[in-house]
Amino acid sequence: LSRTDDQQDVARVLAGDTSAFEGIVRRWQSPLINLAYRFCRDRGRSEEMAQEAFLRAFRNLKSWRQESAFSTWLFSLATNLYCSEVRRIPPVTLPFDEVPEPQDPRALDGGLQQRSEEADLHRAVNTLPPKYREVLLLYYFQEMDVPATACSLSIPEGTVKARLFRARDMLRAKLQPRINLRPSLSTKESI
Amino acid sequence: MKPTQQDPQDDELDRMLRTHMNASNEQLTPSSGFTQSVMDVIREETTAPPPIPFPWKRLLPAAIALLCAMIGLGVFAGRHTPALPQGLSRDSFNFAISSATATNLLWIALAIGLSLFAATVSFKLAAGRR
Repeated sequence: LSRTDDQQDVARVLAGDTSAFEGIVRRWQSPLINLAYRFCRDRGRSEEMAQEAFLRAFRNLKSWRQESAFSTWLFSLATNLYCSEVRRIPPVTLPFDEVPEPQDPRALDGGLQQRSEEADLHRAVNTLPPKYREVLLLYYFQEMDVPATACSLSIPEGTVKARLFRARDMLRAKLQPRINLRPSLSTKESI
Repeated sequence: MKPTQQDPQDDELDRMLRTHMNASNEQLTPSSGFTQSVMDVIREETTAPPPIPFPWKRLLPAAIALLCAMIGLGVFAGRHTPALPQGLSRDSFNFAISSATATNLLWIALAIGLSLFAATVSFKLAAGRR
């Protein structure tokens, strides 16, 4: 994803060439839809949210100062929108404790247990209070980049770290009875 | 920020979150018509006529005329005060008039203030939706 391409397209759009915005949409549609999906867990809604984010970006294109990367500005705008959208209409999730544990006779074979763990993890993340869930989603979506997460949410880096710590704490408490959090052999192995 | 080495459970949770949140089944591919639909919305937005501005130019003369009429009415009413009823002293009449006027002025000021507030809020809300 080229920074120059973004700058050129933005300049063309600001000069009145609306079609240049298509390049921006093509470059950023996948990250924006995927980020929206992390928030709402609904494919259709994530595209609607991403479309709204692009529309807002188009309307506010003049406010990009070019001091920061276009992606930082775009993600910040999209994150604000997604947070308020999800707070307005939260995704449908059952309280974590009310979800029955899966009873599958093939649970020992490969894949199924992992899928069950994934489902548990997603449910646990979705039942976190919004301010912790938002930080957690962005942190892992943005490849564990604290400054980028802080920038997207317009909060200090220290707050991001504190919320991450608290979010992990809550997750651990929720997941402990269901998933055996075993110690990893090494950090590198898991990457 | 790298995962800490202090608590092995932290590492494990970190690994799970990293793995699951970036798993291939978590990666959505935009639907084929997505770019087109975004561009359609944007073209619609740019070709749509601008919102009709509030007709301040037309409203202002009418508001000034109304204000003048009200002042004129007040002056006219002040010059044609009815005669005092019998048994009512001049002082008590003046007191009654002044207190009534003060109360009315207070209500008028309050009403104008509320109207201005309501108008400002509605304009801000309307501007925010554009």
